[in-house]
This record gives sequence, structure tokens and C-alpha cells, in this order.
Amino acid sequence: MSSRAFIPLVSLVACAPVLPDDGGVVTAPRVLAVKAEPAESKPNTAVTYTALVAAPAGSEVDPALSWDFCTAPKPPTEDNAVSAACLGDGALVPAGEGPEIDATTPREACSLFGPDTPPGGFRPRDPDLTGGYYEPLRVDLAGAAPSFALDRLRCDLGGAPADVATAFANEYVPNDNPVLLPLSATLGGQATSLASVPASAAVALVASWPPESAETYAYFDRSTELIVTRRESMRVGWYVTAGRLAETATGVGEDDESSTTTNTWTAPATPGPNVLWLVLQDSRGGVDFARYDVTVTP
Amino acid sequence: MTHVPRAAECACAAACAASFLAAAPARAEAPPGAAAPTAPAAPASREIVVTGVRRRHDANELSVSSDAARETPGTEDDPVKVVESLPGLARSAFGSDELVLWGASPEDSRVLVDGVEIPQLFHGSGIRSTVGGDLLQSVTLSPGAFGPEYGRAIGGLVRLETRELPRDRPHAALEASSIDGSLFASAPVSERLGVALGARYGWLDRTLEAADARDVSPYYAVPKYADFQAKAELALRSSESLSLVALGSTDDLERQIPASDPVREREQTTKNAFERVYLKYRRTLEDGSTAEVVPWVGWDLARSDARFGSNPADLEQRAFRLGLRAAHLSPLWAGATLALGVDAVSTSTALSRDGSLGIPAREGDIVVFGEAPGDDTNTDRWRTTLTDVAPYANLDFELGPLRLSPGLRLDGYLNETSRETPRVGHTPSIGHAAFECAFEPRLDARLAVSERVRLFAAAGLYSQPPAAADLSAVFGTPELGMETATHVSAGESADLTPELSITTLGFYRGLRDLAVRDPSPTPKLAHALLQNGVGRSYGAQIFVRQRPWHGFSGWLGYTVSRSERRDAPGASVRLFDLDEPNLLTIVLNQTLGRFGFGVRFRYASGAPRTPVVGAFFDLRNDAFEPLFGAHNAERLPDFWQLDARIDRRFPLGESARLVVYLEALNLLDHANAEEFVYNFDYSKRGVVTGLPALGVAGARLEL
Repeated sequence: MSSRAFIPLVSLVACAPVLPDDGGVVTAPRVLAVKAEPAESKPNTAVTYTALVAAPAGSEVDPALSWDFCTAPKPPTEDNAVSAACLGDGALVPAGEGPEIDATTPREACSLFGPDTPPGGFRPRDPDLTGGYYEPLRVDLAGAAPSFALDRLRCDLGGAPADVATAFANEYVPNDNPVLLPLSATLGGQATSLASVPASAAVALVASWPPESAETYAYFDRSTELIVTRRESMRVGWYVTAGRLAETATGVGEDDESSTTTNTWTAPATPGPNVLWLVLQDSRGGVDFARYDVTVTP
Repeated sequence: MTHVPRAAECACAAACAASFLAAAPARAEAPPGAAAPTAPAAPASREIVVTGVRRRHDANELSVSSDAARETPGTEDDPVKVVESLPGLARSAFGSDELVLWGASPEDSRVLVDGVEIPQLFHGSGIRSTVGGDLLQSVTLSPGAFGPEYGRAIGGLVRLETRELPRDRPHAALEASSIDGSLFASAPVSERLGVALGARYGWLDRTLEAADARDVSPYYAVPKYADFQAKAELALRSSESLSLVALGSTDDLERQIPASDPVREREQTTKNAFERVYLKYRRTLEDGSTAEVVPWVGWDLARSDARFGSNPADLEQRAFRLGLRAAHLSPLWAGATLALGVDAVSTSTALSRDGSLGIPAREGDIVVFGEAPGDDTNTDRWRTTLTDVAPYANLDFELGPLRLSPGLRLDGYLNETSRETPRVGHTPSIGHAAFECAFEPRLDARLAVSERVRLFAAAGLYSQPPAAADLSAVFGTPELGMETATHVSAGESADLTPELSITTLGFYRGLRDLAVRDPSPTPKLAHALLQNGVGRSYGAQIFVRQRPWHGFSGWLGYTVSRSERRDAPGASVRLFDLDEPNLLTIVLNQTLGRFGFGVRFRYASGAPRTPVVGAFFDLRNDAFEPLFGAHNAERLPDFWQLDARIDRRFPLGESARLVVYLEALNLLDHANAEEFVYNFDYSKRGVVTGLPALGVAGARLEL
């Protein structure tokens, strides 16, 4: 007979490095968002694109932006949102310059980035989780990393039986941009004005949107091959010129009917003017944004 | 089929070119509950007997007896973990259980128990083996160029052999720790029948909870696991036996990274399980020939449900497996034997997958640790049946000092897939079936240059069927065929002194027809994977062994190698994702009276990584994404770790003893980098470090 006692002394300790994750603090000029109007359109449609550009001193006035459509589909070997070829010049089609442009989406967008495939038995693109396909739109700001907006395309339903595709076309309503309601702020449980925030104070911020901004939409479930109705999830990106944000983004999932999301901003210790930007996005790519001037007082 | 000893095996033992003896604690007296070890332990020694060429046609294998292996520093009483200290196996990352043998992908190597394939050697995160050590007789590592009785692998093999059950009296072993607990018991039911039953249950997750340990789940998966083993042995007629063995293992893992941003929430649930039941019939005939038949059946489950924000990444595989190994070994003339056999397996798998084409990542994918996959999604449900029937023959004979073992294996693969194209509505499913045949000659040669110097060489062709998960019409290619390889090795073994020997060998492995992603922006329908990949690994290995000498023993194993892949014709050659060009292991043991001391030092080159050279901002996902430099152009920092063990024996009468020991893993608390991580805009980089200093104390009472 043998019996054993075996007592490991486990001492698992920290394995992860601590890296700065202050993505919400604007330390250099950068593009924060692009709003397309309409938010979803068919190829070869005129669309107005408006950029939100932030800088450490506040919003950029008349920023020098250049816009290009990328025509390079992403190969399956790449994991990023856009093809690496979009970072070069060979796959770019100029779309305009300035903070706001009017441009016509490429005619072949649904074959390049959507389910339409050329003759020859090619694999259709896979949609995102909302059933959407997107045209990459590169936005370049001098001194900043390239940014890519992904403009939602209205393409035919791919990989579905003909009757389902017809029903889907009838049921589907293209996306609208959401609407960001005025920001509310509280300090110590009391409503406060952003025009005067004490230094180092922790301000609770509540972003909200009308309930109808979180739209319902028809979605083709590929596992069941049925059309189901889903609801958009909502997400707010938070940016400031100084101070510390508890989260750089907050939001609600598609099963959450709440129309608010909260964050905490700790004001900087140094009094002075600051800027707070909010970018609201729905899960189908719709965008709204807002800017708030904040004065930090001694 | 299990190990088939050959008539001339014992006579050949002295001439086995790569016979390795690795030093580590082994006891003069076998534990009461243990059967005889693979090779006898020398009295008062601390020797692990590592038989290099137990079977002549497998020149490169290293075999370690289970009883001795469990006392090697760093194994934490788990004999299977001794493979981590043997040359030829790359160090896997902390929290990983990947077997990289001579530069082959983990998916290209196989784990066998008594010749029956099991899907995983270790429980999740590599914390424990899936087969309890009390049932095992030996652990064998065969990095490549193995004989014709094994196949369906273009990499290497890890073979576990179960032990014969003791017939003298009941035995039991009970083990408990903060990691897990186990029980093993065996008893002779009658003069002809013996039975054994063992089980283990892991509770490390609860221990960490109870200890209020810091949450390391984002970097290290703490699994819940269990396994069981059962064996019954029946002696039939003289020289005839029948065994029934049942094995099972299960792993469950759940981890969540909550976030107030729904896009950044992470959760993962995985379950891996397998069961095996097999019969092993063996008979030795009067003419010295032996026959062995092993029919088996098994079930595998591998399921991973992950969420990256709202994006799913789900993959489930349920497999039913049937197999048969049969072999007949007969002496032909003095010093010559002929082995004839068949190795057959049929695997029916039902699979489902939802999510991005890019996850799970494949070898060669350029990714950053922790980066969310693309948000493109698709779904597929499919079935596959992969059948392989492989007859083989192996002749073994002597020509003076030269011993040759030519062999031939003929694999016939029948691959069936339920859908040739993606499902659309109620269109009928059109399946795909293909038959392929692989002609695989193997050769093993040994030359006894003198009593102290031997030369050896081995070579062969190898193949394996496609992975069932790659045969999806949506995520893969139903028409994939077999992948093939060529293995070559050659070396020399010399006894410098009666106790000290050195073995050197060189190896080459060429890989062809590897399934890789189609790099074109628009792949053909149902052709997301192409068989354009090729690869090679080559290197040299040295193994120096000190047999017990005044209580001192040990070994040094060093492998220098390079493993490369080319993903498409005309593409540039890149490093294999798990390439580790330098691997060094030193194990030293010293016995002083009833004390034993042992240390293990390991060094390994860091694995390749693709440098991040910039970033762009994805406005839709509100996140920076990385821009990459040359593929696998940099490496993680090198790894090194020192482990130590001390034990003390307390005799308790004539038939009992107490062994108390202490193991210190990563004694010097070296912070080994296991992965690069980046900040939000990829402008700063840090490393995730692995195992900190870890103490393991234990006591074993043997009655």
C-alpha cells in the first residue's frame, strides 16, 4: 500500500506588464471620427463625409485633410480592418480634401468589399456581425497616423436563397446616424456645469441618445437561414485634452435597452481650458459626435 | 499495435547506436506498487534509464521509464513531463501544451498510448499529463524518422506504454496536492486476472481562488481537468494474454475579461475531452514469433466558444474513432526478423464553426498577442470521415557489423466531406470524396564501428491526412489532400568511459503540400486554403550522458536547428512560428547517503515574432491597428530557467519507506518573456512574463 501527500506551494504572481493606456487623451492632432450622410448607401451614391479632428489645444480649425477611397480588398491572411495595401498609394482613389467632402462611392464597391463576386466562382466576402459590408475611406492628417473610416454599403444579400434575399430586400431599412443628446455631468451626486470644474475633481459624465437611435434592423442569420430582427448596440468613445478618463469607451450591448452610458473624468490638477469630445457609434457604423469646452478652476 | 519486441532485440541492445542513459533520480529498490522499470536501475544510483533504440528501426527515440522519470527535477511528480527535458522537443510557452518536435508543427505530431492515438498529451496549459503516471511503464520521444508501424504524422511521436499489473498483492497510491488529487489502485482478482483503476481531478482553480491569488487568466488559462485510467489483464494460455484498457480525460476552461465597453469584452469557454477503450491481445508462438492485435474505439470532443465583443469565434469538433493495429513478428534466420502488420483508423467528425475566417489563427498568420480578430463572420456545419488503412512490413537483419532495417508502409487514405460548396438554402448537399495512396519506404541502418563507437542513420517518407477542421467549404477547402514529408537523420554514438557516452546526430525534415491560407484578396469559392506550403527543418543534436559514478549522474542535451516555411510558390522563405534554434537542457543529480540532489537548467531561443512598425486608426472600431514589418523578423528574448530538487529517504522497516522532497521551479525567479504586448497605439511594448519562482514540497509514503 502506498499513500502520498504532495503539497505544491503555488505562488503565481503578476505576469502582465503595465503599459500606458491613455488612448482617450489627445496628445497630438488626430482624426477621431468620420460621419457619413447618408450612413448607409448603395455604390455610386453621393455621400457627405464630415471629420472630427482633435488636437491638444482643442478642435482643429479647418484641418488639412486628404481623403481617398481604398480599392484593395483585404486578403484572408490579414487580420486588420483594412488591407495593408490601403496603407500604400497603389490602391487609393482620391475622394477630396478638407474637413468635409462630398464624394461618390465607388461603383464596384459591392464586388470589391461585398458579396458580389465576378464570374469564375470566387468566394464572397463575409459580412460583419450586423450583416454589413464596408468601403474603406482613408483620411490623412499631417503629422498623424493614417485613419480609416469604413463606410457601410447597401449591397444585395449574399449566400441566401432567392426567396429569402427578396424578403430581406423588402424588410431591410438602411441605417441612419444616431443622435447624441446633450451630455450631463455630476460632481458629488450634484449636477454640475462643465464651464467650471474644480481641479482634480472626479466628474461623472452621462452620455445619452434617443431610444430610437438604437434602431432595429433585419438580419440574415446564416446558421438558421432565417431573417431575424436585431437591435443596434451603441458605443461612446471619450476623448479629452487633459485629465484622466476611467474608460476610453463605454456602451451598451444590443440586448440592453438602456439609452445612456456613463464614464468618469478626473480633471487635471492644472486649471485652464480643456476640451471633451464624444463620439457615438451604432453597431452598423452610424456616427454622431459632439464637443464640449471644459474649464478647470483652482 | 503496441511495442513489438523483436527476437534479436536483446542481442542488439549493446549495439544500439543511440542508446541514451540520462541521469536523474532512480531508486535501487523499486516502489512496492511498481512493476519492473523498463531497464534496471543500478543499486544506490540516481539514474533514469533512457533506452535510445529499444526498437532498432527507430534510431532517434528516447525512452524513459515512468518510475524514474517522475523524479526528474521539473516534472512535479508527473513522469510524462520528462519529455520537456529531452532533446528534440522545443520548449513550449508557459501555459501552452504544444509539442514541437524537430521544428514540426504541433498538429503534425501524434501522441500514442500502447499504439492508440489520443488527441492531447497534457491537460490544458500543459500543467499535467492526460494519462496518470501510475499506469505507465515508459515515455518515449521520437522526434522523427520513425519506423513503418507508425504513420499519419509528418512530425514526430510521443509514445506512452502502460505497465503490466503487479500480481503479488493489492497496491494503491494516493496523491493530493494544491494542484490536483489522484488515486490509483490495482489488485489481482485471481491468478489469471488483475485489474487496476486510477483517476485524477484538478483543483488548481479553486486553490487560486482560496488563496486569493492575483487573476492571471488573461495570460494563463487555469483549467479544470480530470482523467481516469482502467486496465484489466487476463492471462490466457501459456504466452498468451489479453488486456482491456480504458482511458479518459476532460478539460474545462472559462475565462472572462469584462469591460464597460462592449466591444472590448472577452470571454472564452473551452472543453476538450477524449475517451479510449482498447483490447490488446498478444501471443508468443513456439517458433518465437509473436502476434499482437489491438482493436480500439474512441470519442473526442474539442469545443471553443469565444467572444470578442459581439464577435463570435466558435469551433466544435465531435469525433468518433475506430482503429485496429495488428502485427506479426517472426524470426527468419539468425539475427533476422520480419514484421508484418496493419495500422487502420477511421475517424468520423461532426464540426461546426462560427466567426471570422482568421480565427483560430493558423501557423504563419501575422497577429499580435491579444488583438481581436476581424469582425467578418460566417458559419458552417459539416461532417468528415477520414479513413486510413496502412499495411506495413519491416525486415531486420545483420550483415556483419551492419544492421539494416528496411521497411515499407502503404497508407491508403479515403477522405470524405459532406459539402463541396457552402450551403445555400435547401439545395442538396454535394459531398466530396477522394482516395489517395502514400508509398512510404523507411530505412534504418546501424554500424558497430567498434565496441565503443556506433554509427546510425534513418530515413523515410511520411504523410498525414488533412485536418477535419480544414475541410470546411466556408472556412477551408474540402478538396485538401494529404501532406507529406521526408525525414533523414544520421549520427554517431560513442562510449568515452564505461559511464560517460556522447551521441551526436544531424536531422533534416522536408515538408510538402502544407495547407496554408490563400493569400489572394479574392480566393476561389470553397478554396480558402491551398496546399502550396512547403517547409524544412534541419539541425544537429548532441546528447552527453553520465551514468552513475560515485553517486553522480546527469545529462546534457543541446539542439541547434532552423525551421522554415514558404507559404506560396515564389514567396519568400520565413521562419516557422515556433522556431527555436538553440535548445539546451542540463540535468545533474548527486546522491549522498539517503539524500538526493538534482538540478535542471534549460535554455531556449525566443520564438519568432513579426515586428510592429507602425499603426493606423480604425475609426469604426475606435482602435489602433498594427502595421507589420517583415514576417517573423524578430524574436522574443531568450528563455532560461533553473529548477532544483532535494529529497530524503526514510526507511520504515523492510517494506516501507518515506520519501520527502522539495522542488523549486525557476529557482532564480528569472522573468522569462513569453509574449510581446503593446499599448493602445502600438507605440510602446512590454512583455508578458512566465512562470515565477514556484515551490513544490511533497512526501510519499510507500508500504
